[in-house]
Amino acid sequence: MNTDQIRDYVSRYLEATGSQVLEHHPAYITVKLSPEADKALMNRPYYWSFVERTGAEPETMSITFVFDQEQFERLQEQRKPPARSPGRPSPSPGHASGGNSAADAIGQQAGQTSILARYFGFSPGAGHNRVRQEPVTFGSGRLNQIFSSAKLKGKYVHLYEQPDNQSVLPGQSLRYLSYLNVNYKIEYTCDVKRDELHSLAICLSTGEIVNGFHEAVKHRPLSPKLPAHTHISEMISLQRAVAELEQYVERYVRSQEHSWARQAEERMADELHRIEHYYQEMIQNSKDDQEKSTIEQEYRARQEEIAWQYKPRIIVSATGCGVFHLLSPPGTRRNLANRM
Amino acid sequence: MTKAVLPPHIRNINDHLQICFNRDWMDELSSRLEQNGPWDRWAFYRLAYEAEQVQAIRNFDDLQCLSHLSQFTPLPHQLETARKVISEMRGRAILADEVGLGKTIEAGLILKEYMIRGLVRRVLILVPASLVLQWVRELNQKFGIPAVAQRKEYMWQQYDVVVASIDTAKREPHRDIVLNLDYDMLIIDEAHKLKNKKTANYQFVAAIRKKYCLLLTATPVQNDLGELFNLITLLKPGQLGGQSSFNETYVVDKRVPKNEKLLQQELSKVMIRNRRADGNVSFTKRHVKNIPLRLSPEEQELYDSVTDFVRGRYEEAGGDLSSILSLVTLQREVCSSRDAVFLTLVNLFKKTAEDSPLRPKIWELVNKIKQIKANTKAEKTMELIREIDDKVIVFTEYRATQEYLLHFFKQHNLIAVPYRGGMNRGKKDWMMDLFRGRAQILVATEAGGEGINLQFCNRIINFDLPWNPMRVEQRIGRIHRLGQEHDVSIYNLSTLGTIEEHIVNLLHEKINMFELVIGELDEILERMEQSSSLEQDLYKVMLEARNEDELRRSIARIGDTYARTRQQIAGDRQASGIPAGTIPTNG
Repeated sequence: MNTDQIRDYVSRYLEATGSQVLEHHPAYITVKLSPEADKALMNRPYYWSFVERTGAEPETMSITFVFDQEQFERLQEQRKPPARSPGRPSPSPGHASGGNSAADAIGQQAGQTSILARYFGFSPGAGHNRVRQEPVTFGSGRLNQIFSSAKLKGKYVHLYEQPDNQSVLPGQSLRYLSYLNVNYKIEYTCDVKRDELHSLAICLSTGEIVNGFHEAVKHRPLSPKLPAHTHISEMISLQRAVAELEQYVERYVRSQEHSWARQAEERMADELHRIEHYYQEMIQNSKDDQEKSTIEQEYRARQEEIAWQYKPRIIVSATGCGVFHLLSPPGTRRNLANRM
Repeated sequence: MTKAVLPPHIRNINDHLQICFNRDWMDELSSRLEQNGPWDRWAFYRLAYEAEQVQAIRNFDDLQCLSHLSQFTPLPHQLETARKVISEMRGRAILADEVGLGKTIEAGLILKEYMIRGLVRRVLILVPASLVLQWVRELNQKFGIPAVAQRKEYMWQQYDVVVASIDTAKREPHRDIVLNLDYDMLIIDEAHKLKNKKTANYQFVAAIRKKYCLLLTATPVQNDLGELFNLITLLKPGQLGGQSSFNETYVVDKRVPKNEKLLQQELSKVMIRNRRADGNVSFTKRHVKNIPLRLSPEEQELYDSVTDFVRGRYEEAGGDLSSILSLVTLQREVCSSRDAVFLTLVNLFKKTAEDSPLRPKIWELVNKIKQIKANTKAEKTMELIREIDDKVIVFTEYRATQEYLLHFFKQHNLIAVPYRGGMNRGKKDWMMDLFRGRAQILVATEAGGEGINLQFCNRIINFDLPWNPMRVEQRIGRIHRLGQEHDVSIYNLSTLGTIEEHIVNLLHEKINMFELVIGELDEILERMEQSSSLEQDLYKVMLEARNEDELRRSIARIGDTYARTRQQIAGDRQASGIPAGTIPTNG
């Protein structure tokens, strides 16, 4: 993800949580968090349980997410008000142009101010500076947290494609096609791992399966609201639909080439062979039964470790799922045409 | 409809491979459909899908961790090591880089990579107690890995990435908890301590259940092939065959290997040792300048009087070294500053019985201190600093000297800040910041201390020298390390005709320590396996020498031992292709 993509993502997340953006800039964004975002990101469960129990008016936090640290610092530098001694009223212009030594003293104090700010999190006399600043880069804890929060908040949906007002004649009923969408993650795992994502959907009246469903519908106007005069036909049960989707995945996986699994098996056999050699010798040389059983126990433990590490397996899970009622099949552009 | 419609959730793809469908989501979806909600929002559904896409690992081999690191850029040999450990060694390896090449970084990269891929969640990191916090800090700051230092019993289970000392972990009640967990990854620092199969530490580590495992050591088992065998057995039992076949194939005597080529080949499957000499890391040069000084007549007189005083006490004690050792400090202090020696004398005076004949003698020395008006070394230091006209760290052994120097610099309009071991973390950081920003001079009494980053400075003045070469190296190591872009200058002040002259001579001429490459000293000291420290040896020699000549000869002898060990190491390295420090070819 590049800086633009991260900024776009974070902005959309904040918007979805209803947070109020105070300042928008390519290098950063300053936002007053909504209660939802504050709860999800600020790690202060005690505060929120206090608010909920007492009914106190919640005070959410404001924060600046910095996407481009260098540019942000340059901006801060430019914006810095002329150096001014803290704790004293701002000097009048006459004073500011005083002798050299006075200017030096002021400069020094300004230096100290920035150090204070760095170590105590505030700088006296600079009120606007109190908003917390945080770098948000790929791999940063904050971005990972936002990803996790989005995943948690976006697992199950039930949505209707909204008709265009002009395209629906009064009295005419809307005919919907219903789809079960499952976003599958296929994990190919041994001592190494790779993932595949497949956004599948099955039409609940025809049984037709669509791959790449998410991409196909992501720009459609979808809402949880059920429009008036709708006609929905679902012929296929959830169980059946899932069975069909799983079969589709299984067929796909079977068609793949699995040399990775064969190689993992070979590595595992190799490892097992290696420790067999080692432990058999020890078992043979053991002095008594007790020693022998201790060694055998250790041997079994090592065998289990090896299986745990190398055994190839494929795990299929759903990262999200939902029922979508569409006005036209995904992958067609007809809905666009309808609205034009 | 009934569940019978669904085929089993685990199915065979072929004889060896199974596919497993996780169906937890299904029940949740159908219950929400029945109750008509609650439903998640479309915006989050989309964001979640995008997050999955961004985080999915597309292939088995490419390192992912690089794009996740924003705090620093790993060096090529560190990345190569991480790649090799993951794709060739399958996550079980001994990382045996020479000191200063970043083993911790390599371990962090490997751990991060496995965590990103979702192959590792629960991690145990066992390190010496003194390094626990440093590890926690590095993993958090450099890698964004949420490691914690184990403090309470519940933490073993509560946290995914726990750093602890092996001595804590192996004790009950911790032992039981640790041995009952499955660790996706186990990392052990200073692993060469686990060379003996019979120790409690070894058996404890061997009993931990683990998937991936990294053993870190800069000195992988030096002297004993059996110990090497034990270390590898922790990682991959049988890699070198069984115990007896190992002895047959590789061992002539426990210190002498045979079939070296084969051994080396087998070793390279489990061990990576990057060396400075490989040239994958270029350190800048060290320039050393000794600055001999002559004490002022008053200072010299004090030094001579103190020396007489110390020798006198030694003879009175009938050659009993231990009771008198601390007095040698007096001599060293005179070479540093009158303030340092004054404080020690006053304390000594207080400790001496009121009717002791020593009291007047001590008082006499104190009076001599009063005669001294100027500090020759301090004057010279200031001259030097003005000449350098750049940031400088001035190291001294003594707190009183530090105070004096701060005062002295201030009087002469040089901006200096202090740094010492007793400061808390925040204050240390603050001093660093002041030094980086505004001060020209840092006056430090302590060189150790982790994580202080002084690479922006490349000059050191040793106002006085520790007698322990490792501590000298630590001082230099503050600025001469990975990341230093300039050559490093080291200035040693030494007062002629004093013990200091001998020490500088020993460290510089004999041990040649100022020009060693980073990490070389560790190897020398480890190899010497000396029972007593250099410091102790020097004290003894000092007190026992009857005249200058004898002293000179004794110190030369100590120096020769170092020089020989150093040559030996160099010789070993050339003689065999085997990584230095792994297996010595001579006993």
